[in-house]
Parts: sequence; structure tokens; C-alpha cells
Amino acid sequence: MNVVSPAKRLMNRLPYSRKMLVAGLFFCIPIVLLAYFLVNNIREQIAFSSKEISGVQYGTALNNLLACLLDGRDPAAAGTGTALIIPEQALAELGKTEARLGEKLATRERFAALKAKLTAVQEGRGTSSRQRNDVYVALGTDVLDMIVLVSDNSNLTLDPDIDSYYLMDSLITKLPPLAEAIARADRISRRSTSTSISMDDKTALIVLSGQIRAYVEDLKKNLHAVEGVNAALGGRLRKTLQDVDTAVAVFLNDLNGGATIKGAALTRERTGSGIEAGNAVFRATGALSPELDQLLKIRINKLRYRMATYLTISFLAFLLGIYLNIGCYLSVREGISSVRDAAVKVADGDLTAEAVFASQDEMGEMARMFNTMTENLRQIIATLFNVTGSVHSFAGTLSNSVESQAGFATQLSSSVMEISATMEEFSSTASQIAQHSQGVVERADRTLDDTRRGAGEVESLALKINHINEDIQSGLTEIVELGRKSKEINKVMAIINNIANQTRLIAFNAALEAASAGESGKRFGVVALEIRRLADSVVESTGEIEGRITEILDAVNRLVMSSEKSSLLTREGQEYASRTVAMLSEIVEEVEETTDSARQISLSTQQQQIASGQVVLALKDIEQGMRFSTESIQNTNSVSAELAQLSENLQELVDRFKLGGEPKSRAKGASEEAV
Amino acid sequence: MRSRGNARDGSFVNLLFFSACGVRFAVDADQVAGTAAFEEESEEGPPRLFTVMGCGDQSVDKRGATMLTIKSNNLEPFRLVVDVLEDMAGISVGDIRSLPPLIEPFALQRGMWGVIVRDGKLVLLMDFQRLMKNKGPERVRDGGD
Repeated sequence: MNVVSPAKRLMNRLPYSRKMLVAGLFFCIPIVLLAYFLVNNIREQIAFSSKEISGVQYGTALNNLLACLLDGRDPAAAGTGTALIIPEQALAELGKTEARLGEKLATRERFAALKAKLTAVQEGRGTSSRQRNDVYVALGTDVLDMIVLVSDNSNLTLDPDIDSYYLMDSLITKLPPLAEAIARADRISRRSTSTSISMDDKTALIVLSGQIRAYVEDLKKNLHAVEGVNAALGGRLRKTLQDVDTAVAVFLNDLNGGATIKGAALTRERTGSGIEAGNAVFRATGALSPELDQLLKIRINKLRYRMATYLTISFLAFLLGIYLNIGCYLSVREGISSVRDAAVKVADGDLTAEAVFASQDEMGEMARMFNTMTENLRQIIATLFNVTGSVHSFAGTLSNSVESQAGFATQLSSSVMEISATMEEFSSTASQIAQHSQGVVERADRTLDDTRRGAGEVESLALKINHINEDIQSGLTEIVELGRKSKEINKVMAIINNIANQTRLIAFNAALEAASAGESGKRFGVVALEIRRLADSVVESTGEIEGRITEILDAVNRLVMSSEKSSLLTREGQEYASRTVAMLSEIVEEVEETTDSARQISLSTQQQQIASGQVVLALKDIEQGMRFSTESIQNTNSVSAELAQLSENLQELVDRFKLGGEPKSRAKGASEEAV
Repeated sequence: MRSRGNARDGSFVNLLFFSACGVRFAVDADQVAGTAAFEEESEEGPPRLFTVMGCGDQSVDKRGATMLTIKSNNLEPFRLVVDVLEDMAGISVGDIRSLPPLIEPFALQRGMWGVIVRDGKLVLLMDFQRLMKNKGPERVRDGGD
């Protein structure tokens, strides 16, 4: 999983179209590369075979030149002292071939050397027959070497097919040397017919005969190998190679049966078999070259056909891949777009949206599952819509009921509290009344006792008032007498005061005299001062006494008046006391009745107090219960309000969904009922 | 009480304190020859001090009134009626204060020449000699202006 994680992350970053593009690109690249390598390989093979064809063409030209050279060695065609016969036409043809293929086969240098050698041979006039023969042998050897070089440079020696390989082998390494060996043997045999054969010639003929047989056997083997893989080609070449075999057999028979080898002279007929064998070899060369060329062309055509097939198949595969990739992309895109569009509508609240996609793959299944899921969600939302409306309606009804109940509970609680407070006051008042009534009873009892005692006291008071009246009368007499005596004292005090004033004046005069007397009157002055002070004291004392006597007189007068008033009041008091005694007797009776009533009242108020206390306790319990009930109702009210709010929120959420048709209208009806 | 010579040396002076119409006065004891109780039987009698001073005839309680006999060098002694004789005492000359300059000429015409404070109350110092000199004995006997 970790190995593919980077690829997964990369794909997660790309949109789906780019994912498909990247995947298709990476899948197409190997196909293109494979096609490229295959085509390149085929092109290399075609170039290889084309180069072989060039080698065949160049080898044909060289074989023609070799045939001309072998023909030029014929002593009958060229006499002694004449110039060498140069095959101009074959050389010109070779020059054209060299111009066309020399660069390709890298034969420029060897061709230039060969051409220079041929030109030198053509200019060498007057040479002997033997010398000319050696020149031709050397030229033939050069041509044979050049044929081998061309075969090497043109990849003929590396030919991969069996038939063409053996054809090449016959055409390059067997037939030209065979022709050159036949030509040499024929020339030696021709020379022997005119003169006696030397040992060297005899030995050369024996060697050449062996080589010719070996070449023919190799040709047979090559033909047999070609027939093994290409019977038709073998059939066509068999006749040609049999002609070569026959001609060579005749030529070898002539050589073996001739006088040259046996020491006898050869005839003209014997020398004609050599030419015939050479011609048969060259005919075979002329027959094999087109076959080899045809094989190579067939091979090239096959390679081109294969390359075209490869290219066509690759291109068609590429097109098919692109086509299928586009189809896959469009199919998946259609599925994704369908589901995505439906999902967008559902996200916007439109639950009527459906993913329209008729594919049988996973995307189609996903679209169908999405539609099923949307349908289920629509049913759930519809149900939720109805439920929300009902909940909202119930919450509104519950809230109204709870609010009414809360109002009633509040009023009831307030009333109960007022009643409780009133009853507490009533109980307190009753308690106070009970206490007061008890106090009234006690006081009534005390009042009764006091009244009884008061009546007795009033009776004794009346008696004492009489005594007081009598005392007042006697005191009044004494007081009047006291006033008279006080007035007499006043007179005495006036006299004393007068005397004191006179004494005071005398003292002043004495002091004045003493002052006038100077030091002699000083003691007298002191005496006068003391006398004056004494007189002042007397005056002050008499003044005070006079004032006191005046006060006494005033007091006596007031006392007399008071006593007279007291006497009058005493008499009235006597009368009141008598009436009071009578009234007190009646009051005692009434107080007794009042006391009994107060006791009854006290008992009643005590019972009332107990009852009111019980009522107060009951009212407190009721008040507490009402408080709890009010709190509970308030909590219920708040909860119902929150429930209504939640139902509204839920309804708003549900309103966002488009269901279409019946469920929505039902939900709206429920909401209106709730409102 | 100091001697007369000592008093004139500036140490003390004997003053006779009395009151008239509620005003407290004092006079040098040397100017007073004697005192006597005032009798009200006759209409003719010594004048009252306020009358002599020209301050009007204010009604006073005659009970307890006292006649002062004033010494006179060239004239026979004359008498004045005051309300109450209060005291006779030696007063330091340093305690005597002069009258304010604004009222001094008018006060001197009525025989007042200084002021002392005794027992927290203002006491006017009288000079009966100056009063007699300004008013004249006849006018004094007639009872004022």
C-alpha cells in the first residue's frame, strides 16, 4: 500500500479528466515505443536486405567482367602480338554500378585499382601468349577477390535465410572460382594440344580438375540445402546446375581421357567442352543472380509488409485504446456528473432530484443507490416534516396552556400569599386578642378586687374627708391668725428698717467726718464703716425678712383661699364619695359580669388563635406547594418555549428540502394549526 | 481709708458712691459735708441731682432717697437729693479715666469730669463744686435751668 500511496495522492489532486488523460498517456507510451522499436528493427532488416541486393547487383557486374576476362584468355580469339581484349562493355557496366553502389559497398579503392590494372593490361601490346595468360589470371584473381569483398561489405556472407545464403554461397564462392578454374584448365589443355604438355601443366590440370570437382560437389550440396527449405527454387535451379555438372563432367572427362594427361595430343573437339563448361557456369551464375535478387526482394517485401502490419495494428490499437479510453471517460464522467448534479440539488434541499444514468457498472449501481438513498431521505424528511408540524403544534398548545396555567398559578400563589399574610396577621391579632383578653380577664379580676377594695376605701375616704374638712376649718382659723401676726411683724420690721437706714446715714456721715479728719479720723472711719456695713446688713436682713413676711402673707392668703376651696371641695368630695360608694356597689356587680364575659371571650379567642394558627400552617403548606407548582410551571413553560423554538428551527431546516407533493402540504397544514 | 494729703499725692482718693435714676455716680468725699434721710412732707426742698445737672425731672422712687450736704467755700452749703448711698471707698487715682474728648466739654458743664469702672459697672465722677460754679447756687436751689 505504501508503494502506491504517492500515485494515489497524485491522483487525488487531479480532476477525473486529467486522471484519465494521465493514465491513458502512460498506457499508450509503451505501445508507441514498442511499435517504434519493431518498425526500427524491420527497417534495419530491410536496409540489411537492400544492401544484400546491392551486393548481388555489384557481384553480377563483376561476374560479367570475369566472364569477359575468361573469354579474353581464349587463344583463338586473340593472336600473338595483338593487344589484350578488354571487355569495354562489361567494364562500363561495372563503372556504372560502382558509381551507384561503390560508396555504399566501400569498393572505390579496389575498383580504382582494378580499373588501373585493366588499363595497363590493355596498353601492354606485343606480349606473348603466356604473359597475356598470366595477366588474365591475375585480373581474374583480382575480380574474384573483389567479388568476395563485395559479398562481405554487402552482408551477403551474413544472410540469415538458408536458401538465399546457399544461393549467395554458390554465386560468390563457388561459381566464379569454378569458372576461373575451368578457364585455366581449358587454357592449359588448349596449350597442350598445340605443343607437348609440360609437367607443370600436367600437374596444374590435375589440381584444377580436383578443384573443379570440389566446386561442383559444393554446388550440389548447396542445391540440396536450398531444396530443403525452398523446393520450388531448388526445382528451378536443378536444371541449370545439372547442366553445369554435365558440362563440367564432359570437360573433366575430356581432360582425363585426352592425350594431354596421357601424353597424347588433344583435339579441337576436346577443347570445346571447356568453353561449354565455362558457359554453363556463367549461365548458372546468370540464373542464380536473379533468384537471389528475387529472394532478397521477397524478403524485403515481407519485412515491409510486416512493418506495415505492425504499424497498422499498433495504430489501430492506439486508436482503439484512445477510443475506448474516451468512451470510458465519457461513461464515467456521465455517471459522476449525473450523481454530482443530483447531489448538488440534494445539497440545496431538492430531494426530488434523481441521478439519471443507465450504466451497468459500479457508477450505475452508485447512481441507483443514490436514488434509493434520496428516496429514503425524502420519505424520512416527509415524515419528519409531519412530525415537526405536529410537535410545533403540540408545543404551541402546550406553551399556551402552560402560560395560562402559569398565570393562574401566579394569581393563585399571589392570592394564597395574601391570604397567608392576612391569616398570619389574623393569627397574630387573634394571639394578641387572646393575650389581651387574658389580660382583660386578669385585669377584670383585679378590677373586681380593686373595685371592691375601692368601695371600702371610698367609704373610709368619706370618713377621712369629714375629718379633713374639720381640720381644714381649724387650720384656716389658725392661718388667718398667722396672717394678722405677720402684718404686725411687718410693722416692726419697718421700724427696724427705718432705724437701720438712719444708722446707715449716720455711719456715712461718720465716715465723711472721719475722712475729713484725716489720719485722726481713720479709726473712727473704720468704726463708721463697720457700723454702715452693719446697718446695711440690717437693712438687707430687714428687707429679706420683709420679703419673707410678704411671702408668708401671700402664702397665708393663698392658703386661706385654698383652704376655703379645699373645704368646699371636701364637702363636694363627701357627696361624691357617697355617690361613689353607691356606684361602686353597682360597678362591682357589673365587673363580675364583665369578668365572666371576658373569660368566655378569652376562651373563644384562644380557640380562635389555635384554629387560625392551624389555618396559617395549612396556608403556608399551600403557599409552598403553590410556589413549587409555579416554579414547575415556569420550568415547564420555558421547556415548552424551547421545544417550540426547537420545532421552529427544525421546521426551518426541513423547509429547506424540496419534497414535492403531498407531504409538504400536510406539514404546512400542521404548522398553520400550530400557529 | 487714706488721709486727704496722701490722696492728693496721687495714691488714693476717697469717693462716695451713690446712684440717681439708676445711674451710678461718685464724688470726692471731701465735697460732701453730710448725709440725711430725705423727708417728703413739704413740697419745697433740696433739688434732685438730675434736675441740677439739667437732665430733666425724671420721676424716681423717693423712698430711701438721701440728701447730700455739699460743702461750699464761699457759699453756704447746699443739698442735693440722690436715690441711694451705696458705698464710700478709696480708689486709686490710676484707675480714673478721663472722658472722651468729644463729650468732655458738655460733661464738664454738668459737673462730670471722669469715669471709673467698679464691680464691672461704669461710675461717673462728679465735681459738685464745678457743678455749682456752672449753675450757680440760686439756680441750684431753684432746681435747675
